[in-house]
Amino acid sequence: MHYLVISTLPRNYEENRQVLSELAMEGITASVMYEEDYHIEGCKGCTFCWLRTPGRCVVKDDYEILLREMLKADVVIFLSEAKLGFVSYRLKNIIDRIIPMVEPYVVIRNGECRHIPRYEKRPEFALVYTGEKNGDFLNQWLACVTKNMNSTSIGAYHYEERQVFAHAVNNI
Amino acid sequence: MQLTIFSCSPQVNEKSASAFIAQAFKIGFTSDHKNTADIYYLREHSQWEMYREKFAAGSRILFVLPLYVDCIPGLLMEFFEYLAGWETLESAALDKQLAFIVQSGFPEGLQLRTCELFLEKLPSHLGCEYAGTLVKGGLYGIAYAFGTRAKEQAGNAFMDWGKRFAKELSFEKEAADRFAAPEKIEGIKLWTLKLMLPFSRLMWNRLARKTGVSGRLDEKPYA
Repeated sequence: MHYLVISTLPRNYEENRQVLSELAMEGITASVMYEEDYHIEGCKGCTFCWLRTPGRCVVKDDYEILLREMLKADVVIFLSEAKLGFVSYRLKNIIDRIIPMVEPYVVIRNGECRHIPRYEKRPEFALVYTGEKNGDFLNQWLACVTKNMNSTSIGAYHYEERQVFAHAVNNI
Repeated sequence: MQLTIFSCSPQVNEKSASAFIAQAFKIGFTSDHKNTADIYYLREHSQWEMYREKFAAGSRILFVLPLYVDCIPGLLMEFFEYLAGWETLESAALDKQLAFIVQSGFPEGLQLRTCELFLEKLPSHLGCEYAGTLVKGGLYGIAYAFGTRAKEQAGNAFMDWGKRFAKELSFEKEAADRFAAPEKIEGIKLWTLKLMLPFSRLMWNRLARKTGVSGRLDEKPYA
């Protein structure tokens, strides 16, 4: 299994080290990417990645590096600060840019419209967040995101629940 | 009554369904000549300092946004964080009501409910009051309308909502839910939709040809 952590927390924050250490205690080694090391712009909503340059975003920043790494991973763990009841815009910008991972074509899955995943490899997603606790909403949101990707959510965990989180990742 | 409208799509205005809806809503809202409304476009990042002042000055604020990966776009989240980090927000937020319109491509209302749930709680984080959310699916490409009839119908519907908002100053939940229908596609409609899907595939391919793409839309550049 290949585990990837994408952290929008500053590299020197203790929370990064603690989460990795919790995973290590479960025997999990993860590669880490810090958002601060990359230039990631927000999605422009042009849908060129569906229609003009299928599968590729036309915004030329560092997103392609992240996307390639995500497609290699079996599990992607997002580490972010919760703000105003949601994840920070830095993480939302990254997640908005995963749209090239699906095709424009639509299918009906479990009675609902969904896009067709572009790749066979569909990593499972987990979220660990700091700040105000809002697990119910963030779990619901992550479940929706993964439903659209035809993938699975391992769940959203507050930083204080990192032990439970690491255990859940180990049990997939 | 003055309404401050923020169109929250990163898309260029002429192709933005949110900008189209904001404009139609404004026409409806200002059809009573006592009302005025201004639209500000969040994609113009360099204007955000001025937009913050407009947010502070308004008592009724409407955000019109596209659904991006099951919630608000990163661009709008950045704007909210920008407002939240403003030291004078507390005094500026007094007696302010925030309403929202969220639009998406998929036709079912249920696809927008998680975002609505977030928006219900958001105003309290900014010290403001909540004035309701209107959600509507099936609006992909409406700004440059593949069928002008669909564009006209959508424009009229949002104009009507603008008129209604001018009277009620909020989106009443029951009426908003009727507008969001279908919540889920079921029964014969689901079967019809399944039969139509191969044609929608052809529509996407035709759209791509129009933009000059000769390759496949299911290409896998990073496989």
